[in-house]
Amino acid sequence: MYLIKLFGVLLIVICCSLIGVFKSNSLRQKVRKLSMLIDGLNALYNYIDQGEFELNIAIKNAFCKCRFLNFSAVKILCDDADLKNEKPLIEEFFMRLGQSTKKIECDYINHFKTKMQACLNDARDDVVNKCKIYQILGVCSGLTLGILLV
Amino acid sequence: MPNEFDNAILEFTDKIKRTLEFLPSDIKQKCEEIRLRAELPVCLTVDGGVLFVSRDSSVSSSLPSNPLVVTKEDVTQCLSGLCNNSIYLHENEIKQGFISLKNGNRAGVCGVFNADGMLISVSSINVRIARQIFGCAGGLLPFVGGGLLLAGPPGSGKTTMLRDVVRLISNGTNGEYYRVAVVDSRREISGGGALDLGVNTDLLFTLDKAVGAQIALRTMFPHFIAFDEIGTTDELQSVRECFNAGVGVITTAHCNTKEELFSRDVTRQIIESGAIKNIVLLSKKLGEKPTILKDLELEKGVFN
Repeated sequence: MYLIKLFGVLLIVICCSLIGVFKSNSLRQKVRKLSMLIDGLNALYNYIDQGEFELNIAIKNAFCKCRFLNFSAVKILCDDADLKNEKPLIEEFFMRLGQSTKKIECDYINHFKTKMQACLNDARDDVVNKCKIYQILGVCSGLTLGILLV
Repeated sequence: MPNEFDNAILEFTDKIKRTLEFLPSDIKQKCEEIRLRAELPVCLTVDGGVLFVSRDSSVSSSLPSNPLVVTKEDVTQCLSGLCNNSIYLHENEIKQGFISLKNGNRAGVCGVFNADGMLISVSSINVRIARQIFGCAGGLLPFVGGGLLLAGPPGSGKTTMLRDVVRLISNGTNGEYYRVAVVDSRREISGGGALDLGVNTDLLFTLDKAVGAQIALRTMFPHFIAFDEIGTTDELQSVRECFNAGVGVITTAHCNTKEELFSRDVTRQIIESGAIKNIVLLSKKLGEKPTILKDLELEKGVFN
């Protein structure tokens, strides 16, 4: 009987800990994806500055590693859960590309890159500040629940 | 099978495309230009005349009661579509008021230009449809040697004839496969490589025709150099260099009458240089044969 209770408590602790781990992992994924996006913006800037490719080809080449972007025929969508706060900014950015001269396009990319860099810095701060808290909260809430239920 | 007209309207907005694709097929076959103007009816140039397009895909030579009117937004979206959403790639062309399209078509653009010469707001687009008519210049082959100038008013078929002359001499129709270098500043002659210019033709794409002619002369060792719309002093100088190097020149020039041909500086100078011995005067009138002026010589200041 006690073994079953012990197993139950362990299960609850593990589940709650995993929730904490997944939540902290989501923050780390956000940092990774924003870094990939900024690398893609750098590449896109170079493609447009060199004036070698049409926009759709330049975008596909620059963001080929960004699997969280959906390149549909009409527009580019970002449906990733980790980037839900940045989604409107990202989609609007891609929608407004290709309408201006090279200089204005490059300035626009730089401006958007600055915004994404700020988001990346915030995400990195979140990783430092919140990851451990989520993990500890996960373990503690698991233990509390376990004790209460026992 | 899509024809040149259907290819030309591919990048238009759905509203305009849906109406134009149901135009009568004979109109599509003969259409030379499609004009889109903000807040005005869509116009076509057919056989040199203007036709207005109605919303029910009919055409008339007078303003109809239900014209197909394009909005400013339509014109802007069409420009974006024609550039494949890559206006930055066409910046230099747009500063000169045109965009080279696929299949040799060319779109003239009009609107508000800023101090740098860049179009900031488009109000009109004129899509000129390139047509390749095989064999139309067959009768001109005897006049290619010694230099050939194809002159005529806009829409008289100068570029179409130039294209066919190049193709015929490159393909050995004259009995020999001549090397031809084409300096295509607006991708109109070659359609960006989409049109047939013959098996022995080298293509050079550059906005500066004079520089392009010099490069072709020095590197491709052509028998003939061909380019469209000679007009500047530098281009005239290039023609003289070609002539001095023993390379034949085939080119075109804007001109409405024979008298204008000899009174315009550019055409007069090109004939005086000796690089052009034969001129073909084209007409916009249907069925009118071109006038051929051959073996031109300047004697006591007068051409005979």
